[in-house]
Amino acid sequence: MTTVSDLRIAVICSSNMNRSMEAHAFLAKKGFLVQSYGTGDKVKIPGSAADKPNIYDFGVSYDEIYHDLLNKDKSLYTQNGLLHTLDRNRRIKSHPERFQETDEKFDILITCEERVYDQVVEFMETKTPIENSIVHVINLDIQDNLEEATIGAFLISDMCTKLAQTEDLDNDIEEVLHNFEEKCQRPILHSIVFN
Amino acid sequence: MTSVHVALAQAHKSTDTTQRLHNLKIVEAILLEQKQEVTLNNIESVLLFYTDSENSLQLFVLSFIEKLCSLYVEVACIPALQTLLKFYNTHPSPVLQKRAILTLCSIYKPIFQWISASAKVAAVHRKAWELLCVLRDRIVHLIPSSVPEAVRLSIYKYIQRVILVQTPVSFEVRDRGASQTEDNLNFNVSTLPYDHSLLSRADLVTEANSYVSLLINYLRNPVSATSLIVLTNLLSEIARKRPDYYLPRVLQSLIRLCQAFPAFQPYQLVSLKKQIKVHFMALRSVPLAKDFYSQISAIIESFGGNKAGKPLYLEPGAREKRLREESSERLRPKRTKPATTSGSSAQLLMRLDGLPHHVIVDLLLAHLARLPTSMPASFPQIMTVAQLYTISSATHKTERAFSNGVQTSNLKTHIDLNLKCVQNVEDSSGPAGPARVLEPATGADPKSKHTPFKVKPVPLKNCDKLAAFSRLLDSENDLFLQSGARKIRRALLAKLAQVQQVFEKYKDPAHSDFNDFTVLLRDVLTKDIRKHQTLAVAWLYEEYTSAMHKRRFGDKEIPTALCAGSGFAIEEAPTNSFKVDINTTDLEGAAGQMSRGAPPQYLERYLACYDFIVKIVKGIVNNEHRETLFRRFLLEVPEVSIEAFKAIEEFCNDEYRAKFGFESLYELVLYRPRYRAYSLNTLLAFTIIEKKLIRSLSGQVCVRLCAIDGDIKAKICNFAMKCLRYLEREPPDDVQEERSADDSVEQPSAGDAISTDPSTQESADRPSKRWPLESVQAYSSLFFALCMETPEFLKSLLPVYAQVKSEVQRGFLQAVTPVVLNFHSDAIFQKLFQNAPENSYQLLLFMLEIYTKHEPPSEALVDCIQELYARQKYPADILIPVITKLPKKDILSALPKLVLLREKATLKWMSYLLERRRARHFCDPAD
Repeated sequence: MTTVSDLRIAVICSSNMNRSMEAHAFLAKKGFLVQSYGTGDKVKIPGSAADKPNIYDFGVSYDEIYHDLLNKDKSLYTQNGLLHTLDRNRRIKSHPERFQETDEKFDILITCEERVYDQVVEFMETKTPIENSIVHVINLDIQDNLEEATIGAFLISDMCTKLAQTEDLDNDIEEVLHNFEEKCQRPILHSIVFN
Repeated sequence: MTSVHVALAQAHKSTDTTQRLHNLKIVEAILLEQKQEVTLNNIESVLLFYTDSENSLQLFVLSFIEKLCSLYVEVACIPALQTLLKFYNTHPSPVLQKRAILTLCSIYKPIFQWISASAKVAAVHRKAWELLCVLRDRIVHLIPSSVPEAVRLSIYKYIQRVILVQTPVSFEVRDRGASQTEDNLNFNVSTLPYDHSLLSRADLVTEANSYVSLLINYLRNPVSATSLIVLTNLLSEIARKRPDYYLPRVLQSLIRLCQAFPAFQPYQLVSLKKQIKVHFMALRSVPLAKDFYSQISAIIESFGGNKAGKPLYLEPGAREKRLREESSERLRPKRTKPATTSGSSAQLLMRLDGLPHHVIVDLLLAHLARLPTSMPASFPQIMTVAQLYTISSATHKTERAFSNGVQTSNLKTHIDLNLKCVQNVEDSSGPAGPARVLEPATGADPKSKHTPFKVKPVPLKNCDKLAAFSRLLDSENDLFLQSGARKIRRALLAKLAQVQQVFEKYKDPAHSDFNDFTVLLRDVLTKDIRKHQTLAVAWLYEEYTSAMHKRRFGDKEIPTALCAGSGFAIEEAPTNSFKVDINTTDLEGAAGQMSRGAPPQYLERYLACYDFIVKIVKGIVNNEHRETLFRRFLLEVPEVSIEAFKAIEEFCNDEYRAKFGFESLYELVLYRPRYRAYSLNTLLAFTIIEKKLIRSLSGQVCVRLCAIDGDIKAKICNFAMKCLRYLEREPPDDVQEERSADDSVEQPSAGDAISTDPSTQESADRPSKRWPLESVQAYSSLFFALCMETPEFLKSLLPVYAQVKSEVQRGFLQAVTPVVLNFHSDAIFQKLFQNAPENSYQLLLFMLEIYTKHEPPSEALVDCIQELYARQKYPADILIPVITKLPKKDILSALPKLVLLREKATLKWMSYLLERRRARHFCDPAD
């Protein structure tokens, strides 16, 4: 598939399971160079009760998680859509990835939650820049459920399309984000770090 | 070799950009793997493609330069730098310009390293350095011009790179080994040979320092929110990597920025605050930032603390509330169940997972404060403290924290021992040995994994307690590195000194003086207060917290109250006995009029400690106005005593240390609102003293304060006006009478107005006692200092001028001259002439003359004066200062009145006209 832009984009949420993967799927279909990551210590997904989440390491593949949940309670996880989500995820990539462990370079980092944004900015600040290229960190608050993830992915895709259309991203990003914030009526955070 | 030539030839021949790029990439791959000779022969052929009109090819060349210089710097640097210079001359597009700057940013270090490697400098080194300097200057000078945002950000990054490369790596950073991956181990300007004929370390550092100033300057006047965010990032990185050189300056700039954020969009401000919070949290852990700790902590707190490590799956709406609840829940020490040690530790670890280090330390202190003092602590409580200590140590890797062979395990022993000392005050006659023994609780199953323990106290001798404390003090003295454990230890030391005092007193009410522990602590502080300043501050806080509890609960409740204390927290502010209202202060002996009531009884002990510390610090404070030690004991302690103010007054009265004294007052006014009135009063008292230098310094500080706070400005202006109006009175008896009038003051040529001025006539009839010129200058200096910044303030002078005696008027005329010369435009005159009192004409005329001697009057001013003259509000000599700008017919119409003026005035207007004639503006000779 031909790419619509040279921009290297990463979508980051906490577990690399729902929001970032939904956006990853959406952007990839649109032809963006996109990756997705999580920033948490573990991959946490809802369990049978609020205080009993299913916790996995980032190395565990979506396929393994899928089968684990299938064995635990097929009807529950089918009903809450987790199996469907995992099925989609395993068709995009093999396993959840942790942002702090990747060496890939990006032009735009999109986070789905303020806390994740904080973690990404903090991590990028402590990292020693190698390329010295500019990286834009943008946060768009998306609630962690299936419906909001879909809406969020649509918004992220819209934003990325506008960013890709700019002549010089670094020059025009403020204006694009300002317009986008007004349009989507969601608070946006933007910061600049160096790769 | 052949394939390189073939690929190059194809790249030149091909018309398709993709094909050319493909060929060039083949050439690049071969060149970067071949020997240097091959590279040298072909570099220029590839670099020539920078002239191509295609962006992709130009970007390729820039990327090629970057890779080439990292591998073969000695061969590639000259052609690379020459290409970059030529590239700039082609005025590239912003995208290319940005990429070129970032390329230079990447190759700056290898080229610099190559040039500085050996003391022997060849012509090629010299040429490379020259090219590097030319490029650097060209890039840096691009910023003030209207370059696109992206280019500006790249230039900031480039400047940061230059600063980092040209500043030696701090020892502390090297020891920490935090960022060994970058400049620190590979290259360091401190390894530059001293006899290097081209580069001097001092010059390089000076240059880097000037670039830091440049970045800070841009931070103060940001072009956009993006620029500001990037500048904070870059400066923060500079401060982290070169703390010895730049940390205080950067922190000050960031703190100043936080005090007054520029007006940006709300979302930009939120991003900016988040960014700054991240920087502050990183910088706070740098040992050199300890002087800013309280300010940084306050800012972080105001920005919402650290949110890292919180549970997942929180809805954005509920996040803040949940975080607050969790934070308070975590910080609240839970009542530990008499459960197993492993269970409680595991729970504690779970609760603490992800919390920042300082929170763990605070939690530890809170738990320590809650340890019972009148009865033995339970084992889980001790375990909680020990566990917290272990976690806090592990967080900061304090295993190697102690020099002189003091290990963490020893510290833990010290802490435990001291805790036990504190808890065994009832009986001091027991044998020496371990403070408590653990036994399985009665009825517990000894085979069970989770056996509950009970604690059997074993009392210690008093000498053992002292020995333990002394050992702690000794190791504190030997401590070199800043660490989490050090902070804990400081708090413990302070608490122990204070707690022991309380207990001694509790046992024996007659023994209220300093006891053995305190004497030990005092000795340590006297020996080197600079090194132990944080310990001193911690001690003061403990004393203060104890005093506040004492005030609330009385003596009998002290032990219980201490249990509820929480380390450094101040729960209630005491009544300020030194509060003075500036508005009620009379001028006569302004400083002497301040109420210095006796301090409250419950603060007696605290104030004794504080005064003791102030006495030590006062003796060793140096003359630099940047001295931080004394100011720390003014700004960071819970209460400032009158002794501290006396010390400041001493500094202010001493011309050698006056600047330091006034800076201290300045900071007290700004940062200690409770002492603002008193500090301001002290400062203002110095604005009316006889010593000119001190008066001038205090005036400068007042002007600076006026620029910051409107409320302070109102008070200072009020005081300045009071001083001015004081001159309307008769001089007091203790004022020495002026022996002779000051003839050096230029008498204004008031002409006929003078002879008819009733106030002048009246002042001539007044009693003969006169104000000396020094007193006039003293009482009016603050007013005129304020006028220098705010010329509109001169309006207030006019009514006073009309009322004062002639010698005071002369003093005013002398003082007003520099103010008038400082006017940026003559628009102020129009405001002054409006509603000016009739008797102030002489002053107005004088000011007008001074101004027009140096600056030609504007048309608006000339019109205004003509109008005033036409309305017969002022006599004809008002026209003299602007006569050169009057039309001929107006001069001729005013001539009859002008010739009637007294001789001095006539000569003046004639000389004005002659000057105009010389300037060929006058009418023809027939006129």
